[in-house]
Amino acid sequence: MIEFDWSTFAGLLAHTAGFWYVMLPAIALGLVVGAIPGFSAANTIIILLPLTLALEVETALVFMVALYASARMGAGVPAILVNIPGTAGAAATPLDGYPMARAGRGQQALAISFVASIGGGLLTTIAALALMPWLARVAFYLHSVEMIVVMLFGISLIATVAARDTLKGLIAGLFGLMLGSIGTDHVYATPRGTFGFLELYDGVPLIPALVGLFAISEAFVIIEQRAIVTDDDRGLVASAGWAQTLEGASIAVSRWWHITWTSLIGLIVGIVPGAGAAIASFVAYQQSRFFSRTPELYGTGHVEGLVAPEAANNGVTSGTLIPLLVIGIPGGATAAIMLVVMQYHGVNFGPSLFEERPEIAYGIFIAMGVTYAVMALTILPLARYMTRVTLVPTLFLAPLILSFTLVGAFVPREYMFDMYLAVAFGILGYIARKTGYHVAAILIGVILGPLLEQYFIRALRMSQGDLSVLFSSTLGNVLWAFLLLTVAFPFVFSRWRARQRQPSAQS
Amino acid sequence: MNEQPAGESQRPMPSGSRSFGSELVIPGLALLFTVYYFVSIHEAPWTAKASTYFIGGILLALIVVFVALALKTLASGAASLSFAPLFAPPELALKRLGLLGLVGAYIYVLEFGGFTLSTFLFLYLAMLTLGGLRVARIGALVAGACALGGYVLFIAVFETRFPQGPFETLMNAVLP
Repeated sequence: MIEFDWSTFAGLLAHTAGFWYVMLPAIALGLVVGAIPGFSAANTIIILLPLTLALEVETALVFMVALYASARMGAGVPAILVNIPGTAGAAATPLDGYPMARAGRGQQALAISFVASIGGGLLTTIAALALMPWLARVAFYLHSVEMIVVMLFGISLIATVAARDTLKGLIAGLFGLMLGSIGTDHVYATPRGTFGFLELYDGVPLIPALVGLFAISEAFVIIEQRAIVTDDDRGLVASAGWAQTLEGASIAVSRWWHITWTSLIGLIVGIVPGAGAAIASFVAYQQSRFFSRTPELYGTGHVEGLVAPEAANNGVTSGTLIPLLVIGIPGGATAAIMLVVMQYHGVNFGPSLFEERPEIAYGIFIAMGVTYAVMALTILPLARYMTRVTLVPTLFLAPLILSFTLVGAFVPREYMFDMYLAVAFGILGYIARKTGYHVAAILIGVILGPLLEQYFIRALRMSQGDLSVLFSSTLGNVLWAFLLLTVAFPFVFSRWRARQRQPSAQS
Repeated sequence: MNEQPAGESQRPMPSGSRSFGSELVIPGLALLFTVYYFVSIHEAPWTAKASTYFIGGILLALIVVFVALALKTLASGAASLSFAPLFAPPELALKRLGLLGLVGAYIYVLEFGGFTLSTFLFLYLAMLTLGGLRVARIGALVAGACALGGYVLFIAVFETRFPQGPFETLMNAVLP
C-alpha cells in the first residue's frame, strides 16, 4: 500500500522549490514549443536528451516535468489567437477561444485559459497525490474490448460536439481512422494503403497530420480577413491594458467549481493509456455543454466552453504519470520518454519506486504543482503582449505560419516527405474547413487508428476470430450504450426541437 | 441533418441554397481511399484486414446515407451541385493557388537552397503575392528577420538537420 506522509511532503515541497532555476528556462521553453504546432514536449525532450541524461536525476526530472506542464499550457495560446492548436490536446480550445479572440477579447481569453490550466493542473496534482492507489486501478479494468469502445466513443463525441453536422463529423472521424490505418500491419508487416511510399510503412506520422490539418489549412483560410481580430474590434485589442488580464483571471476564478470537475475528467481520462488529452478535452467540453443552462452559447465565445477543455487538458498531465509511476506503463509519448531518461539514471518505475525512491515518486507531482504555481506568476502577465498577434496583418501571418509549421513537420523524422505530407493534409484540412467537416475529427481518427487496430486484433485473437467478443464485457456494453446515445441523441433532439417549433409556428 | 454551433472559421454558404458539390468532396475522397485500401489488402492475412474492414464498412455505410440524403435534398430543389464554397471568395482564388504553388516550390528548393535562404525567399514572395508591391520593403525586412530568427532557433539552438545551403555553409565557416 502506498502511504502518503505529510512531513515528507513538506520537505519535498521545500526541496523542489529550490529548483526554480531549472523550472524557469523549462517553462519558457515549454511555452514556446507548446505554442508551435509540430513541436511538442516529447520532441523537445528527445532533442535535449544529451542535456537531460547528463543532469542529476532530480534536476532532469524537474526539468522534464516543468517542460511537460508548460507545453500543455502553451498549446492553448495559438489555439485561441489563430485557431491553430499547438497539440491535439488543445483541439477543443479554439471552439470558444478563437471567437473570443476575433471579438477583441483575446487577452481575456488567454488569461481565462491560463488560470483554468493552472487551476486544473494544481487540483489534479493534489488529487493524484492523494488518490494514486485507487486511480491506478482504473487502467486494470480497461481491456482490449473496453478500449475499442472508448476510442469509438471518443470519435463519436468529437463528431457530435465539434462538427456542424453529426453525420459529417462521423464521416470525418472514420476517414481519419482509415488514414490512421495506413502502414504495415502489426503481425505480418503487410504494407497497406501506402501508395508505394516507404515513408508510410510506419504509418502516418502524427505531426505532419496535425500541422497540415490545423495550421496549413488555417493559413489558407485566414487570408480572407485583414487580421485575426475584426476591424470593429481592433481598437479593443490595441488599447487593452492590464484590466483585461485581471478581468479574465477573475472570471476564471469565479468558475472554480467548473475548473475542478472538468480537470478531474482530464485526470481520469489521462490515466487510461492511449486515450489522450484530445479525448479528455472534448469529453470535458461536451459534459460542460450538457450541464450548462446556456448550451446554445457554446461555440460563440462562451467562457465555460474555454475553461472546460483547458482544465481537462492540464488534468491529463497528472493522469498520464499515474500508470507510469504505479505500474511502469507510460500514459503517453512524453511519459514514455521520461521513462527512458529515468531508466538511464537507474530509476525503475513501478510499485517498488514508492518504497525505494519515494522522493522521485512523489517528487514528480510536487514538481508539477510547484511548476504550476511558478507559471501563475510568470505567464499571466504575458497575455497582454501575446494578444498583439491578432493585430498582425494576415498577409504577414499566413506565410509565417506556413513556413514555421512546415519546419515543425520536418523536425520529428527529418524527412522532406513529411513536409509534402503536411501540405497534402493541409489541402484536406482546407476542404474540410470550407465544407463543414471538422478537422479535429479527422486528426483524432488518425491518432486513434493504429491504437484501435491494435486492441481490435488483440480482442479477436483472444476470441479466435469471434466478433461477439466486442459485446462480451459488461463495462464494454455500458460504453457501447453511451456511444449509441451520443450518436443518436443529436438526431432525436433536433427532431423533438423541430416538432416543438411547429405548433408555435402554426399558431 | 442536424446543425450544431461550432467555433470554426468558415464563410457562410450562399443564402437559400446548399452546395452539395463541395460537401461531397470529402466523402468522395474517403470512398476512393477506402476502396484503394481494400484493394491493397485483398490478399493480406486476416490480421491485416479485420480492423479496417470493420471501420471501412461503417464508413462506406455512412457515405451511402450521406449521398442518399444529399440526393433527396437536391431533388427537392433546396441545394445545388456547386463547388463555389471551396473557392470563396473568388477574388482570393488566384492568390490561394499562388500561395500553394509557393509552398510546393519552397519544399523543393529547400533541398538545394538550405533552410535560411529558402525560407527568406518563400516568405518574401508569399507576402508579395498576398499584399502586392506595396509591402515590398517591409516584406523584405520581416522575411529577413524571420529567416534569421528561424536559423538561430531551429538550426543553432535545436540543431535540426535541415539541408545545408549557401547561408548555412557560410555560417559554419565563419562561426566557431
